[in-house]
Formats: sequence, C-alpha cells, structure tokens
Amino acid sequence: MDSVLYFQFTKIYRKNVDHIYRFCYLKLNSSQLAEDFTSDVFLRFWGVLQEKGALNIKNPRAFLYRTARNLVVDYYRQKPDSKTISLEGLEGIIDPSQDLGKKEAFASDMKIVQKALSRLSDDYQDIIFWHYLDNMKTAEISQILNKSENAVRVMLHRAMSELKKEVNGV
Amino acid sequence: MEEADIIKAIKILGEIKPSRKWVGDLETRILGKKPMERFFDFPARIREFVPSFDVFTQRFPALVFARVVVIALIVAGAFWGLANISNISKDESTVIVNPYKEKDNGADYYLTMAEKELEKVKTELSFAQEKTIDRQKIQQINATIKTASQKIPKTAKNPQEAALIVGKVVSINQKVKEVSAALSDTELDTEDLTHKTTQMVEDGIKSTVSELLILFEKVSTNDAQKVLLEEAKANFNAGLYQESLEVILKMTGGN
Repeated sequence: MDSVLYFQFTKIYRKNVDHIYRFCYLKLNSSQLAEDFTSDVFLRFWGVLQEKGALNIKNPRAFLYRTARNLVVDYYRQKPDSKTISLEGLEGIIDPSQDLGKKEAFASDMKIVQKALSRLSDDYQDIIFWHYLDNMKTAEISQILNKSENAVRVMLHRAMSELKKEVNGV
Repeated sequence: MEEADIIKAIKILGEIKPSRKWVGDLETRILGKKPMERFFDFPARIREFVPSFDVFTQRFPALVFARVVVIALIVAGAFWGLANISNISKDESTVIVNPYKEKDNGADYYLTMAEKELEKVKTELSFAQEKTIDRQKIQQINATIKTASQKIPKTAKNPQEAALIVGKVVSINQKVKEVSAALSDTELDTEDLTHKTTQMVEDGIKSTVSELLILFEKVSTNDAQKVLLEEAKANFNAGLYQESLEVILKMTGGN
C-alpha cells in the first residue's frame, strides 16, 4: 500500500468523518443509515484516491460532500416518501445545565426549526448545514455545488430568509 | 424567532457525532491494520501526539528511527548504566581478551568489552588504598575503545541498534569519568568514540528528516502545512535536524 495515500486518507478521514456522518444523519433520519452511507462515502473516496493519486483530488472535503449528497439523492429517488430532517435523539444533546423551563423552550424551538428545515429544498438545507454547522466559507461551498461564490452567497441569503419565514409561519 | 435563535438551534445539531469506536473500526476496515503498530508499540501518548506518523512506518521503517533515538538518548544511558552495574559477574575478572586477536565482531562486542574492562578497573580502585592503576590496563582499555570506535557504523541498521550503541557509549563515558575522578591522571580517551556515535545519530536523524521533507513536499496541501514545511526546511538547512523533525511532527500531529 502506498504510504503517501495511506497518510493522505487518514488525515482526511479523521478530519471529515464526523461531518459526513452528521450530514448523512440529518438527511437520512437514522444512525444506522448514516453509518452505512458514511462508510460508502469513504470507501469510494479511498478507491478514487488509489486510482487517481493523492494529489489529483484538489478539494477532498468537497469530494466527500458531493459523494454523500449524491448517495442521499439516489436513496430518496428510490424511497421518495421517507424524506425528513432528523432530530431523533437530540433531546440528549441539549445543554443539561439549563433549567427545565428553558430546556423545554429550546427543545420546542428546535422542533420548529426542524420542521422548517424539512420544508426547504435540498440545496437550501445543505447550504445552511454547511455554512452554519460546518463553518464552511462560501468559496468552499461553491466547489461542492459547482456554482460561483456570488451565486452561493445569494443562495445562502435566500435559504436563511426562507427558513426564517418557515420558522415564523409567514 | 430571531435569526440568532435559529442559528443557535442549528448549531446544536453540531453535537451529532458517530461513536468513536465505529470511527476507529471503519478506518481499520478500509485501510486494514497498521503492521508497524504491532512491532513498535510506543506509549499511547506519543501515538496521540503524532497520530499520522505511524502511517509512514509501513513503507519507511527508518522513520521511526529518529523518534526512537530521541527517546533512547534520554533513557538509554540510565538504563544501560544500571543494568550493567547490576549484571557484573564476579568471575569475569579473569577474562582478559585481546581485541586484536578476536575475529571481526561488531561495535556491540567491543563496547561491551570496554565496559567490562572499565568496570573491573573501577572495582579495583574502590578496594585499593593507593589510587593507582597499572598503565598497561589503561592502554588495554584505550585499545578496546579505539576498536569499538572503528566499529561504530556510519548509520545504524535499525532503531534498536542505535539505542544499544548510544546506551553503551553513555555507560562507558560515565565509567571513564568515575575512573578519571578516582585517579589523578589517566589517559583514557573516549573522544573519538563519542564523536563517531554522535555522528551516527546525527546522520540517522539527518537522513530520516531529509526523507520526510521530500515526502511532505509531495503531500502538503494546505497553507498551514506549507508554512510548517518551509520552517522545517530552514531548520534542516541550518543543520538543526532535531528541530526540523519537531516541526514535521507538528505537521502530522493535528488536523
């Protein structure tokens, strides 16, 4: 096994596995499916890395997200009715130091945001996740979506406006 | 709900993470087990500090050399010193071997012999009322040290050999210091031995670091890595191999 590829893969895998898993989890509403899809994404990445070489993948994170995104799209093509944004089991991650009233209010807010997110288009959902969850810059998102940075900025603005409208029931 | 509250709710989703066990299992499933980990089971803290470093050891076993040598330099002296003091056999005092009549043994053989000869002199001195020693014995030790010095390889075959040699040279120097302190005037000379051993270690680190720099030139992808690579190269060019290695370890250590 080529040690350079091995090194490259390990670095990229450790840096991105949590992000890809989370992305899959939110899109698929199941930890089991998220694990399966994440495995698939990295197996494909490893295959491409071996085939093309470490230096020929300019933006590995963009590659990983594009692969994950395509797999999710393929999955929902086969099962169009099961589409949702998952907040399954998220009660456990709400700050336990908050008092019960605040916790309930926050859980309620999250449910509202969840519903609102699920009503957005895939592009809007993804761009919100990438920008606000993964702290990706518009330049990086533009590489995943194959759009200009300007287009991504506009899209992000529209996605957030849409989400606000959905959240506030306008 | 304000935009800030919405963003706060979204950010909470960042807490979603897979189990660490699954993450580790998946990596192993894709890449397979790292063979060198089975051979070089360094303390977990070192592996955590340089998690990606093991990657190279599959193809380039020499890359573990520098790490081992650094550790060896710190611990080997004390270890070998103690081990050899406690292992002195009483009947070894009768063994006197002329190194020039022996067949062509390696550095380890002559270093061990020098250690034994020095230990014998040390013991003799500790019981002697008059702190003098037969000049011939000193010449014999110097001859053994000289032969050992000639046998020190330019570069060690593996980390174990380097650690062994360094450990013994440290022990010899310690014994020479003790004997010299007891005698007012000795001609014991380990300068060449020390110099050749240092050279061996430096050459090992130099070739390891050089190999790493070539490797990292190919794989450094982001700006931070490139900055560190330049720093490592500058240290290397200035002859600061250890410092260069430390910078390289920084490159492999973090995400």
